[in-house]
Amino acid sequence: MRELRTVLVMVSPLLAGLIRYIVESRIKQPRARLSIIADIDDLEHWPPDLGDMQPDLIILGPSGNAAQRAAAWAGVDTRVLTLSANLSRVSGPGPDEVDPLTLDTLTQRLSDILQET
Amino acid sequence: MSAVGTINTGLAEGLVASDSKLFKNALIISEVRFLRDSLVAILQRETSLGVCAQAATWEQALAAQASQPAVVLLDVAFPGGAKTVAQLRCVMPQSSIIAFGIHETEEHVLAWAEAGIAGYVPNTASVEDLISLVEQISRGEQSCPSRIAGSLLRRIASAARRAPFLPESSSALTRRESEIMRLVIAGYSNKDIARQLRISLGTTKSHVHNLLGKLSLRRRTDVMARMRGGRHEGIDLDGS
Repeated sequence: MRELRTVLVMVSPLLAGLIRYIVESRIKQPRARLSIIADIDDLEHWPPDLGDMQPDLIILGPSGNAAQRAAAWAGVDTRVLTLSANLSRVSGPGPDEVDPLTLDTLTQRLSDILQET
Repeated sequence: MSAVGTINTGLAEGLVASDSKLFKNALIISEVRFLRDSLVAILQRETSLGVCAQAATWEQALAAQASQPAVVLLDVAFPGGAKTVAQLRCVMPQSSIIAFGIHETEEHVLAWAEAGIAGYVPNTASVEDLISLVEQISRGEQSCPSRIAGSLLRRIASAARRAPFLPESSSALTRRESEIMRLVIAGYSNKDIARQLRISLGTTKSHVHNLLGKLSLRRRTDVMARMRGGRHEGIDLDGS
């Protein structure tokens, strides 16, 4: 089982479920799975051991204005995707990678990250 | 989701064709393309729900009424909020409206319930919860916390002490007047109504005048205010 170790920051349960669905049903890689190792829904109380978790991916949700903080403890190999406030765009993992948030673009992003990790 | 009780919402039984076929079709309304596309894919895969259309704007939702969706899944973040439910009920009276993304407080749930939803999916729901709730609501049920159920019962008891929301004279409306009343409530101007029904502007104004008279109302928006329980908004009679 190929697991994408993921930390969600301010991502609603429904949105997390939709992202998980994309990984498990649309990505053309056998038995890929989104493994959520931490789910942060309170920006004032971040788990103290996040820096040790070294996730493959951090997804910053639409109300998670915490990009700088996430980058501070993200490992060298950790990719960060940011969803815009109105869920119209997805940014990352590269600094200039900004696209409309659609099933296809997110599928491609996650597929690329799975291949690279 | 802290569902501790089930309410029978009395949803139209005709919606349930069989255990394996929940709805004929559905319409998903949300400004967020990712939500629409994802929900279409998941509901079609997991619930045998035949999604017939999706709409990002009110105009697209109106255009979708021709497909007569049995169920409308409405994103609560859609512009207009709960008012959209009243408008949808007027233009799609056969559809059951499910609001998704509701902040599950008494205040919010009651507001959406009074607007006319058949059920709701709270903003804390997972995909699995959403699928389960859509199926429940299709059976005329709604899981919700006991405090919400209590509030709904108290509100129903309070409403029972008030007058019916429409006077008896509304039953005297002709079929055409009823049709026009739904469009008035949906926010159509007289010009839009005339174009939609392919009748003259003068005929439209005459129908509007007559139906307001029968309902003992002065302004076209009084109809919508009456539908929502007596709150009035000032818009002139001549919506042309």
